[in-house]
Amino acid sequence: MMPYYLALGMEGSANKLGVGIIRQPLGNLCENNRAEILSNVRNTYNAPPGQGFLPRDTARHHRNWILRLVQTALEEAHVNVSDLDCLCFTQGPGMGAPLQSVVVAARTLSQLWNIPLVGVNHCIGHIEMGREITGALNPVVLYVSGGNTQIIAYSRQRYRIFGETLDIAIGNCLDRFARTLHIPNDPSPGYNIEQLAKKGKHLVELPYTVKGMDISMSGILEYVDSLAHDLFSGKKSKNLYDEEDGKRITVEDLCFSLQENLFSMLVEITERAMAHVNSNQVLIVGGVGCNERLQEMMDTMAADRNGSIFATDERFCIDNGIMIAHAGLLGYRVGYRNDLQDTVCRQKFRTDEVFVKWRD
Amino acid sequence: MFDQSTLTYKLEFSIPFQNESQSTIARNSLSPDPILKPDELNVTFSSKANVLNILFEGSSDKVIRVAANNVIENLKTVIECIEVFDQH
Repeated sequence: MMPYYLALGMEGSANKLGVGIIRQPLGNLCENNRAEILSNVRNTYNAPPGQGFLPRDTARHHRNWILRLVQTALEEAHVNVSDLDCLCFTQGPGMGAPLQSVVVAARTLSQLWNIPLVGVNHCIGHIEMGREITGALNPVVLYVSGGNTQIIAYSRQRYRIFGETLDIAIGNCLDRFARTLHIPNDPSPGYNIEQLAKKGKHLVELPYTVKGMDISMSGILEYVDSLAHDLFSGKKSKNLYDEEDGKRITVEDLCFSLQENLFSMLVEITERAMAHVNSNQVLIVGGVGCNERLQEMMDTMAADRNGSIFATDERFCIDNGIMIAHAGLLGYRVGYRNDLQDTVCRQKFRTDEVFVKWRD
Repeated sequence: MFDQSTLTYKLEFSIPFQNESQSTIARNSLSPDPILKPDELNVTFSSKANVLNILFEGSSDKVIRVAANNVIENLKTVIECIEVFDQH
């Protein structure tokens, strides 16, 4: 028997397709016994400016690339398929067609390689990878991406959702505003908004919609969209001029204001969750977690509470295969397996459905 | 409810593989996903020796066309995996 476990993970729940191979040493993972990333490759489907990615096109992209990515991941890791313990795949949540296009490859490969399949909850993948990379022991998790916005804390073998969006995800809100502005989707719409926001000078007042532990963003999007349309059509209404210096607001100002407004709402509910569970650590995961302004605002709040934030870089924040391999392998080690009949993907697969047997 | 008598449109594929193990793998990879509208469509996967049989029964030729396209797309993934990784 080898002194380690080895898993390949496949992720394709949205427009990123990722394959990663992870090696976990025997024994409990801790500071001196870390998992090792052998490869982590990704290919992203980007729609043209002004458009979002559609399920059909995204699934086609994934089908075109999945096998090439698996081959590249195996080559980079210098691993033989016969050494793999299991094959992990994203079982949800996410878009149906892209998820399904990947699971078909996962089923076929698991039979050809004669290794078990392990279905992974995408959110749990983010959380476990974030914990492993940052070493955060028991943080409040802020999971912010194109499809999800949740405040999560671990309690009695579940990742429990303390607060979440009541309508659209934060990344979806930013992506859709990027579409309104017709800015490119490459490398990601959120990244391009972040760059524009850095040049914003005027804070435009937007609706602030925290509802208890939850937040709502669709109304904010509608409002900022209408401001942008008025701006582009050359309207001269009062709310298109800054109250103090009377200057006309710009696209940069709108990006800046949207970010400040949305992130303030996140900071508020995250802080409340930290008070609830008595934690002073925040782990930020998901694609929007790359945003440096969000990290900065969260850090200021955490520092006030004598705590700190833990964030990862784009290799792990943005959807990837390695997190699926890692979380799947944690499950595999405590006995989780999926029979072929039990590998159907679910678009709605909630974080708190998973029994986290691998943690105390 | 499910009423077999309304599924009057039929289409059948018979796809030969190199051996029985491959046709079984293909069947196992394609069959788990449920049909979203069972009152409009029924798809049956079976394999015999090296041949994979797929039977579509639908309430119109349109639902069959959509389902058949999707199955062919998935089948391409399966075949690609077999081509690259089947040791036999």
